[in-house]
Amino acid sequence: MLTAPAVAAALAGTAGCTGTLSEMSTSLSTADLTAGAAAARAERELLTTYDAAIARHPGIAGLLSALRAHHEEHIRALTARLPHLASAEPTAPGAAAAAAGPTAGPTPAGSASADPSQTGPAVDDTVSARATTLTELAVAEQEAAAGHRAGCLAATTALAPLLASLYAAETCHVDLLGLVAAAPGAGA
Amino acid sequence: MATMRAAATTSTDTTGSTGSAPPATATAFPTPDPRAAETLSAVLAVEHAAMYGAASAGGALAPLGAAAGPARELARAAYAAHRQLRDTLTGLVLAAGGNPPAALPAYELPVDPHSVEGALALLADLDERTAAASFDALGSLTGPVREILVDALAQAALRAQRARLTAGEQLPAPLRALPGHP
Repeated sequence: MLTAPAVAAALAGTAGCTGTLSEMSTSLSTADLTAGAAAARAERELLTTYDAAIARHPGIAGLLSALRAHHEEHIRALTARLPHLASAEPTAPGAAAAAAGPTAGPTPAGSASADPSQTGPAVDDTVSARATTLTELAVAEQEAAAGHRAGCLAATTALAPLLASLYAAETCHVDLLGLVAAAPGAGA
Repeated sequence: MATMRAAATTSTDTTGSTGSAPPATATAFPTPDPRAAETLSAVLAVEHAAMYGAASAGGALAPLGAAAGPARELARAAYAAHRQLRDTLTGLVLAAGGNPPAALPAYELPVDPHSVEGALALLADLDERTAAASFDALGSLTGPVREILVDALAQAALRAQRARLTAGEQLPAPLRALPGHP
């Protein structure tokens, strides 16, 4: 599903996005740029949150990875319309990748983590720990949903449909996380 | 798969008015807004079809016993939600100075609902159409009326996901990354 804006965004990324950016943004207002940036920031924070949760709970990694993939798609959709977002926070994608790195492999020790005070990659897949994480993810998704909805209502018609779709997606995530939390053992 | 086509048959009236007054929409448009009326009418037409489809699903599920209970509940909730949205949209089109489209006598269903699986697939399909119509409308609507479409999109996406989960689809099949997005 590679759209013309997505191609433009990719080209802008490699070419330094100078001329393309001004062309792409002509139909976008300041409200769109603000709402889009906030949405992208929220999506990147969710990626980090899911990375930690996936590392902690291998038993529900399939479910969590499916939801995480949605947030990656959300970022792609946002940057397709707002190409400058792809480079606005150059450290964010790298940080997400770094967080995903050690969790991707089946290394359970995770003692190489530089900051064990954070929700490190230590596995704790007990029922109670899983329930806590599912609740935390639902709260994070709910906050992102509220932000997308507010952003949608502040944006112009150029960005409102996408932000409404993101709001709907996070709302569905909240519902699914609640269903899984209510049925321990599910979602594996 | 643009819209459900009108069928050349008649059926019992499952889409009659509830008699409940539309929400406070009369003040949504201080002056006539033909463009908004047209946009909202397009969503309203989708809701007429959704009500018909949800009622058909409920009717098809009625004799299927306890095993169809969860699906029947989803059909009932979907019918109520689409009916409420229909009433809201009707009020908004009138407030914008337009002529709300009437429901057709019958619609050709995209899925045969005479099984639990079929009924759930139909319910998911109906709500995906509502989500898509809401998404499209948000590409041209301005002002506070958008709030109704934003919430309609999210609620439709939620019902569609519930229908697919109830059908027992394995993850991630029941999930949609961008509800309503073409």
